[in-house]
Amino acid sequence: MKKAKPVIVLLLIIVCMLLFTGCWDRKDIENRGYVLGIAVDSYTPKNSQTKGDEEKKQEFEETQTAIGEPLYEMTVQLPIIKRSPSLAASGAGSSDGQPKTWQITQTGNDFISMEREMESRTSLTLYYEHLQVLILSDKVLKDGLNNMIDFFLRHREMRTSVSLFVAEGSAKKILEVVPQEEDHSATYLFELPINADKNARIAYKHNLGEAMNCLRSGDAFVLPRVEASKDEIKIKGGALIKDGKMAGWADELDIEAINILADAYKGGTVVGSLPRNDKAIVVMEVTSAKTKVIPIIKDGELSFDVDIKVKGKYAEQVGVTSGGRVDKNFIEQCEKEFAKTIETRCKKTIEKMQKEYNVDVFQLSRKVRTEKPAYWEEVKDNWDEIFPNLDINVKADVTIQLIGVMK
Amino acid sequence: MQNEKLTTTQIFVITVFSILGVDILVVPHNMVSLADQDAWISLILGGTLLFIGAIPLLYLLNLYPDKDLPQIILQVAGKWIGRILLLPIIIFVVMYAGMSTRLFAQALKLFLVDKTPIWIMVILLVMVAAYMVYKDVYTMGAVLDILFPITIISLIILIVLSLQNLEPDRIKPILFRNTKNVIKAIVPGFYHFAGFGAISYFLCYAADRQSAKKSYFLGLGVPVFFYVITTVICIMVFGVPPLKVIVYPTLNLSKSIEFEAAILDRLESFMAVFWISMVFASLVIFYYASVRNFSDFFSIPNQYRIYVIYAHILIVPIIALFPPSSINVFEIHDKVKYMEIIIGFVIFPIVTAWAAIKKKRGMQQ
Repeated sequence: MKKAKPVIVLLLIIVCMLLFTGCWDRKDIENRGYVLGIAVDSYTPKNSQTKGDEEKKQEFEETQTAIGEPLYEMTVQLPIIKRSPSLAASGAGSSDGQPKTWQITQTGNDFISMEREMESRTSLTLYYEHLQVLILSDKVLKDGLNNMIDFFLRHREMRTSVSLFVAEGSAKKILEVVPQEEDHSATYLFELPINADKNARIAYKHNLGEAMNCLRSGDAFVLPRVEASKDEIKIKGGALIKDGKMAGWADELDIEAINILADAYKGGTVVGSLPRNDKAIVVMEVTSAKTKVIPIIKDGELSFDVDIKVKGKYAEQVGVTSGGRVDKNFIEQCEKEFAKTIETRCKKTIEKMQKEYNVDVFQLSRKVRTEKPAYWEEVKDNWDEIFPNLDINVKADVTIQLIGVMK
Repeated sequence: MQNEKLTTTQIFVITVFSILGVDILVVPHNMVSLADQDAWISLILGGTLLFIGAIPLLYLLNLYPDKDLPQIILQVAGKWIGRILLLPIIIFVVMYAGMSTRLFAQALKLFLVDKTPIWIMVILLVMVAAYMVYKDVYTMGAVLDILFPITIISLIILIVLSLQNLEPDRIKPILFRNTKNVIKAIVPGFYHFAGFGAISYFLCYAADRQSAKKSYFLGLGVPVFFYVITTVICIMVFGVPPLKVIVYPTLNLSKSIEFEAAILDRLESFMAVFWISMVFASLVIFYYASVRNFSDFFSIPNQYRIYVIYAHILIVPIIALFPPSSINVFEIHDKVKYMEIIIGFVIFPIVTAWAAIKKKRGMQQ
C-alpha cells in the first residue's frame, strides 16, 4: 500500500491538470444576452408597402421553415446594459431618447428554430434564466395554449415562475412600451401584480408552472390581460382558458369575483349603498377574506354552497358629510350592505361563466373530483352539460373590525 | 488500523446515505405514475417492508460479528455455492453504483452544465470516490459524517420553502377505487429503498454493536420519511397529471419556488448541494461494497486490494456510460432495483437460515 501511494498522487495530479484547465460551460457574462421578456404573436404576412430600412428588417424577421408554413412570431426583449442605469454598475451614460431595450422578432413554426435564428442576428448568446414575463396574444391562445407552451416548459433555462400575460391584438406592442419609472417594459410588467394584495382585480393565477398544472389536470383558469399605451401598461381583466384554448374575456369585476371564489382574494375594496340613503355610498377595505366552497349532493343533484367570510375596515363614505354616523347599529347595517354587494357580484359572474361562456373557471370540477370522487366518476364525461345548470348558493358574511380615526 | 472503529453516529449516517441516493430526484414521478395521488401510502408500506427485510439481515450479521457480507456468505455456503449466491449481489452493487452515477450526471447536465460531457462528470465523481475508498472505512465514516448535516439541512430547507405553493386538496381523494394500484406499487415503493443491505459491509467495524443496531433502524427511518414527505409535497404542489410527465420533480420543485424579494433567485443551484453530496455519499458506499465483493469473489488478498479499486475506476464509468440514452437509463435503473428484492427476500433469508442451522449443529457437537 505504501508503494502505491506516490503513483496515485502523481496520477491524480496529472489528471487534474488536464481536466481542470477549462470549463465547457464557460461563457463570459458580457457575452450573454439576458432575455427579460418574450412576446408570442401569431404569424401575419408582412406588409409589402414598406421601403428601405424597414423592409430589410422585415426580411430579417422571416425564418425559412423546412417543413410547413410559419405560424408564430416570437419577440424577445434584451436590455441594452450600457444604457440601463439599474443594471450597469457604474458609468452608465444617460441615454436621452435612445431605446434601453432591443426587441428581436422572428417568425417560424417552432420556437427553438426561431430562437436559434435570432442568434444569427445578435452577437450575444441568448440566456433565459432571468426571463420574467411571457406575453401571449389572444390569437395564439385561441389557437391553443397547449399547442405552443411545450418549448417554454422544456427549456432548461426558463423557470416555472415566469409570469404569463395575455394581450389583445399584438403582444409585441406590450414589450415596445417605454416605461417611465423602470428601465425595461418586461421588468415593469413583472412588478405590476405586486399590488394584488390591494387590488383584487388582478388575476391570481399567472405563472407558467401553475398554468401547466391546470392544463395537464384539465382545469379551466384565468390569465391576466394587459393593455398598453405608449408609456404605460395596465392589467385589465383576464382571459378565460378552457381545455387549453381561450374561451373569452373576463372583465375586472369578474376577476374580483373569481378571486373571491377561488379563495385567492388578498385585499381590495367593497362598495355598498349607505343605509337609508340611496344616493350616497360607503366603502370598506378588505383585510382578509376566506372562502369555502362545499359541494353538496342531495337526491343525486349536485349543488354548491359558497361561504365567504370577509373582514375589513370601514374606509370611506361618499355623498354625505364626513363623520358623525358611525355607531354599532350603523356598522351592522353596513355589514349587511357589503355582504349584499359581494353576493350580487359573485352571482352575476357565476351566471356569466355558466350561461355565456360555459367555463368552469372556479374549478368546481376539481372540488367534485377531490371531495365527491364517486359522483365525479359518473359525471366527468358530461361536466360541460352539468356546469351551466349548477345551483350555486353564495352567502357572504362581513365583519368590520376597525372604523378608522373618525366616528 | 483495527483499533479504529466506526462510531454509532457514523453507522447511522452510512445507513441513511446508502438508501437516500439519486432516487430522491425521481421517486415522486415513479410512484405517482403507478399509484396516482395515493403514492405516498405505497411508499409508507414499502418502508415497512424495508424494516421486515432488515431483520433477517441483522440476525445473520449477529451470528458472525467480525465478518462482512461476502465473507459470511462464503463461509456459510462454501466456496462454490457461496460464489453463486454472491454473484447477484455483485452485479446489483456494481450496476447500482454505475446507474446512480449516470442518473446524477444526466440531471446535472440537464439543470446546471449544459455542454460539459457526461463522461467527464462521471469519471471525476468516480475518481474522488475511489480515493475515499482507498482511504478505507474510517475516513469514509468521517467524511460522510461531515456531509450529512449539509445534505439534510438543505433538503429540509427545500421542503419548508415549497410549503408556500401547497394546495392540499390535490392529494384527495384518498384511496378512492385505487387500492389495487396502491398495493401493486408497494414493491416498486420498496425498491426505491434499495441499499439497506449496505450495513452488512460496515457493521463489523462498529465500536458498539448494540447501539449501532438501534441507529441502523433509526437510519432506515430517515429515507422513508424524506421520500414520503417529498412525494406528498410534490403531489400537493404539482398535482397528479403534471407529475406523471415531469421527470425530475424534486429539481422542478426547487425551480418553482419564488420570492417577492429576489435574494434566493436561483434556488436550484443551491439545491444542487444536497443532491450532489447525496449521490456522492451513496456512490462511495456502493463503491466500497463492490470492491469488497470483487476481492472476496476472486479471493484477492488484502495487499492487492488497491488494484481492485483501480479496476473500479474503469468498471463503474463503463457501466454508467453504457446506456445510449436517458430512456434506457431509467429502464436499466428500474431493473437493477428489482434485483434488490431478489437479494433482500430470497438470498438473505436463504443464507440466514443456512447459517442458523449450521450454528445449531455446531452447538450440538
